[in-house]
This record gives sequence, C-alpha cells and structure tokens, in this order.
Amino acid sequence: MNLTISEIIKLLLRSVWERKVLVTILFVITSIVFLMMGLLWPKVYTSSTSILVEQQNILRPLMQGTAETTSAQNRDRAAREVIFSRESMIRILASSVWFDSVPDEKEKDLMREAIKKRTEFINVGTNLMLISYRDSQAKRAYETAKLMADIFVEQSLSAKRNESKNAYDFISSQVAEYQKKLIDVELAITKFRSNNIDATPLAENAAKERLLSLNRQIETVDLELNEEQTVLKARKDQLSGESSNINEASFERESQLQSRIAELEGKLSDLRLTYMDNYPDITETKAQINVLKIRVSNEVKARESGIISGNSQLRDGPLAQELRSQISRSKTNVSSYKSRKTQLELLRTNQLKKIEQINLVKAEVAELNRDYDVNQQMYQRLLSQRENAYVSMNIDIKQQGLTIKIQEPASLPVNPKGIRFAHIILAGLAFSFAVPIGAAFGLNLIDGKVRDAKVVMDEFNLPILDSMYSITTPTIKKYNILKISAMSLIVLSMWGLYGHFILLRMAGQI
Amino acid sequence: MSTFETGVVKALQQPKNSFDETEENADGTLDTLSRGMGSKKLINSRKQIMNMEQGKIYTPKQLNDIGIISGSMKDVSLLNKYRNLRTKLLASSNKNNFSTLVTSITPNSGTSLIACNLAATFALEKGKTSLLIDTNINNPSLGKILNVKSEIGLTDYLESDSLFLEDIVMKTPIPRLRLLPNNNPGESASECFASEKMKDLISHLLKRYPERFIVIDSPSIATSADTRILLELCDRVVLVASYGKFTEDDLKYAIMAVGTKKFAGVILNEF
Repeated sequence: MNLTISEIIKLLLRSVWERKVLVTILFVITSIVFLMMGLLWPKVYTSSTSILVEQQNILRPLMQGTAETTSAQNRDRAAREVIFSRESMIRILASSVWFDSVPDEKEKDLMREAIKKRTEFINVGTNLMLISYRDSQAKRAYETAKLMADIFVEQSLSAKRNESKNAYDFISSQVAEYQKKLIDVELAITKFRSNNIDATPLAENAAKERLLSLNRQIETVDLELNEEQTVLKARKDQLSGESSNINEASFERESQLQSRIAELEGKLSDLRLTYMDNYPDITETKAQINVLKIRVSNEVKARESGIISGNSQLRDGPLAQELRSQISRSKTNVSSYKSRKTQLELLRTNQLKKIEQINLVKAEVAELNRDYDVNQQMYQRLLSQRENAYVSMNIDIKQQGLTIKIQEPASLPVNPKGIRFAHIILAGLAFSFAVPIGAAFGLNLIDGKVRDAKVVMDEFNLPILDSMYSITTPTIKKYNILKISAMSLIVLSMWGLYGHFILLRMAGQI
Repeated sequence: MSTFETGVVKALQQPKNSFDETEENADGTLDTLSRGMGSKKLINSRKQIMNMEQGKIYTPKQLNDIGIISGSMKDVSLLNKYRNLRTKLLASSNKNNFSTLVTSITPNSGTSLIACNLAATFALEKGKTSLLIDTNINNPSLGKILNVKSEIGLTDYLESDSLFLEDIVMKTPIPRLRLLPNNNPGESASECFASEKMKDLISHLLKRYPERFIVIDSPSIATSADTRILLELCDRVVLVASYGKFTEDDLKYAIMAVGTKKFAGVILNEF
C-alpha cells in the first residue's frame, strides 16, 4: 500500500485539502476543548513533611511494663486520630482561607472530609512518618501540612508529658499511701506495746527466771519429798518387822529347794528318755519332786504370814513407839512437802501461762514489725521510682527527650504535580492537528472512494487512456490562496490564544 | 461575378452573431452554409476555414484562465496528454471523424472541462473542427465555461420543429470549436435523446462535415440513464474517473453500463 513516507504525507495532505472545512472545524474545536481543559484542570500542589518518631517509650522501664506503649504499626492511625480530631480540624480550618463566603456547618463538614481525603500518611522505615497533603493552592498546601505536623508533634509531646506526669503523680500517690501505711503500722506497734507493757523483753526475762526458780524449787521439794518418803517407808518397814533377815533365810531355803527341784526334774526327764512312766525310779523322782514342791510352798506361806505374825516385840516396844512417832513426823513432812509442791506447781502453771501470753504478744509484735519492714521496703523503692519519674517528667517538660520531632519541615510547593496546565496545552497543540488530520484521513479510508489509480488499472484491467488534471486557473488559484490563508489564519489565531493563556498562566494570573 | 464571389461577399456581409456552417466537399473544399432557408452556398476554400467567422477569440492566456488548453500553453505536458488522448481515439476508430461520448462514473467529476479540452484538442489542428454537444440536463455548464450566451439549445431544437441546426450551433472563443448548448433542458430531455431526431442530428452532423469531430458531454452514468441512450448515438465512449469521487461499486456499475463495444478507455482525473 503506502510504502514511502512522502506518499503517506501526500495522501494526508490531500485528504486534509479534500475536507478542509471539516479539518478546520475540528482543529478549532479540539484546540478550544484542550484549552478549556487546561484552564479548568485543578492544580494540585503537594506539600509533605516528615516526622521522626522513636519507638521506645521512656516510661516503660519505669513502670515495669504496666504503662501502655504505642507500636509502630499504629503510628499512622494515631497520627490520623490526632490530626483529624475535632480540635485539630478546627485549627486547620481556621488557619487558611477555605471558603469564599461564610460557611455553614454542612459546608464545613464537607470541607473537613475533603481535607481528610487529601491527606496521606506514609510510614518510611521504622522511625519515620511522612505526612503529605495536596491542595489546589500552593500556600494553603504548605501551611496545612506544616500545621498538621505541628499539631501532631505538639499533641504527641503533650501526651508524653501527660503520661510522665501521670506516672509521676501515680507514683507520688503510691508513696504517700505507703507512707501512711508505715505511720499506721508504727502507731499500731506503739499502741500494742503500750497495751502490753508487761510483755516487754525485760518482763519476759523476769518471768522466765521466775519460772526457772520455780522449777528449781519444785525440784528441791520433790527431792525432799522423795527423801522423806523413802525414810518413811524404811521406818514403816522397820516397824512392820525387819524380817528381812528371816525373810532372807527363807528366800535362801526357797532357792535351794527350787534348785533341787530343777535337778530332780532334769533327772526325771533323762529317765523318761530311757524308761517308761511306771518305772520305779521315775515314780520315785516324781514323789521327791512333789515333796520338795510342798516344802517350797510351805516356806512361802510361812514367810508371808511371818510378816503379820512377825516379832511382836518389835511392835510394842519403845523402839517401836519411837519409830511410830518418827513415822508420823515423816508423814507430816511428806504431806507438807506435797502441799508445797502442789502450790509451787500451781505457781509454775501460772507462770507458764504468763510466758505463753508474753510469747503471743511477742509474735504479734514481730508480725507488726514485719509489716512495717515490708512497707518500709516498698516505700524506699517507690521513693527511688518517684525520683526517676520526676526526672523523666522534667525531661519531657523541657523537651529534652528525642522521642518525636519534625525531621523535614513542610516546604512551599513550587510546581503543581501530576497533569498540569503545560501538559494539557502541549497535548492540545498536538491533538488539534492529529485529530482533524486523523479524521480526514480516516474518513477517506472508510468512505470507500477510489483514490488509488492501481485499483482502476489492475483490479479492473481497464484500458487507461490517460491520467489528466485540470488547469489551475487564476480564479481557482485565488480561491485556493484564500482558503489556505483562512486556514492559516485560524491556526495562528488559535496559537495566539494559546500563547495568551500560557503567558497568563506563567505570570500566575490564573 | 461568379456565384462563388457573390457568395463570399454575402458571407462576409452577414452579421457577426450568426455562424456559418462550413461543409467540406468531396474534393477537399469547404462549403459554407448560410442560414436562412437551409440552402447551401458552397465556398471552396481551405482558407475559408481559417477565415471562419469566430467572433471573440480567446488568447492562450484567456483560455488558460478558463481552464482550456491551447496550442501555446505553458504546461506542455498537459497539452501532450490531450494530444495523446486524441491520437488514441483516432487510432481506435477506423472512421475519419467520429463522435466521442465523454461521461463519468459519478457527477462532479470535471467531465465538462475534459470534454471541452478534448474538443479543443481536436480543433487544434488547423484542418479540423470540433463540435461540443452539451447533453447535461441537471447543470448544463458548457455555455458558462465557454462564455457562450444563447437562449435556445439542444432540447429546444429536439422538441420544436421550427428550429434549424444553425440556430443552435454556436461559436465559441476557441477557434474551430462549436458548441451545441442545452440551455433549457426541460423535463422531457431524456425522451428527446432517444428520439429519431437526435439520431439524425448526430449522423447528419458527422456526415456533413468530415473534418468535424463531435464530442458529447453527457451526465454521469450513476445519475442519469440518458447516458445509455446516448451511448447508442456515439462511436466511442470515454469514461472519466475522478479522484475520490467514486467507489469500486460505482466503477463496476459504470463498466457494465458502458459495455465493451464502444469503450475507448478510462481517463483518470486528478489522480
């Protein structure tokens, strides 16, 4: 088809000439449309500022994990909340000129929503947050972005300050509480001690000593009592017959007999091994054993009845009377000793009770003291924490802490971003030519009219007489010149219009 | 004075607006027909042609201004094209003079101007003349092109019985070129073209003057059925195909309409 560029260009030019009116009209329309678009396209200026935000919250070690910290992920949500809060938006609305006339609430709301939509929060890395705001006016974009950053930093810092102040206040209150507790416990201890004055360690010692002495006394009495009892028993024994020697002989005889019995029984068993029971030796031995056993029992009887039927002499003689008076004296002693012992024991029991009481008191005092110590410890710890909180609070007040600051402040945007007037104008210049030429060419392509001689020659195989052209008469020439001039004039005037508006735009008039 | 001389004097005395018909005799001389009774006053002279009453003759520049070729025009290539065309037509016809139908595929193809120029080409040669017949009904423009004023034309002649040929054959600013305009086409023009009178007219015109070539400017095939009728009357047909004015279907239709018998060829216009 069309192989050479010059042929294509010729074709284009011819089609343009064929449809000059259409081409011109399209040119004008396209130019004006693009011009309008360019003028009316909203300018977009973007101003952004970056804020450095530290991850760690200084208070965290202070409060030992009890205070809440904001994580990095929630940072822009926090920023959004802070900057889009009612108070902030009111400040933003008050900072620039947003409305042409005095707005009502609904308009203000709409504007607030629009401002929110035009704001972007971007997290760059872990520590940096970008606030970006776009507007149709450069100055307003700059001022709003700056204000947003300021608000955010301000609020964050004051939040931090509040946080540390709250922490400090909290710790202070805890300190006061513990102080009060300590005082209470102290008072309690004092009161207790004063109530239990005989429970002092001194008293305790005294009581213990007394107990000891009581114990000693009881022991002594016990000893004496036993001694006396032994004497009494001995005298009684003496009185009731000192048949101890007789008894001794009796015992001697008994034991002899017993041993003889044992001997005989052994012999008997030996005999039983060899002989039967009715062997004369065995029966004899058995009889001997029986006799002996009877003798033993007689001996025992005699001995026992001998006590009663003992020496009557001894019973009624002067020795016996002496013994009896001694015995009664002993008995008196014993009973007095016993009563003493009982009394002492009673005293001792009382003393024990007293000591127990003292111990109870001691235990309670110890507990109170323990309480006091524990409280004292807490108090000391809280004191030191309060110091730290105080320091941190002061740091925040003086903004010495580098938790949040504006890293890169907002700048006044010089050039609008995105599709700009210049782009549209350039596009307009291009399209105002492309569209008409394209339209003319396209129409020629689709109208089906033959514009290629080859079609007539090759496809139809017709004899071609010749290829003629008409003479360009002066009239025609004149008209052609007029037409070209008109078209050129229109093009130039369009360019002039463009130039005019470009200049206006560059001068910032519109 | 011989009859000859009397005739010459009379002819010279005739008013400017009337046109003389010249006839060529068998021996190569020309006869001049004077108007009036249809009687012939024969004048034998080659020079007569040269002295044919012309009226206003356009200069080459003037001809150029109206878009007509001339022998001494600057654009020699165009002139040669037309000459070439004439030669081809002459070669394809075995007769001495013939009628050529110039038609186009679709209207507004510049046919009239081409027909004019073709006729002018025939008239270039000093021994030849040409007659241009305008059979356009919708917009007969040849009169305007050639600046020929006349109240009556072809249709009038065909319709009425009282007109003579001399009445409607007009002089043009181009030497040796006559015009048969069609000023008042009327509604029944098509029927007239099919009439016997038309047939006679053409044959008569050809027969009478063997050095005269007839060029018929007809409407486009697409718009008018007259062309087919006119086809019958002529010897050769030339089809004008103008740039960007016809579709392939139009061309097919035209080819079919023209047929092959008398088809001389296609003229590509403005390609």
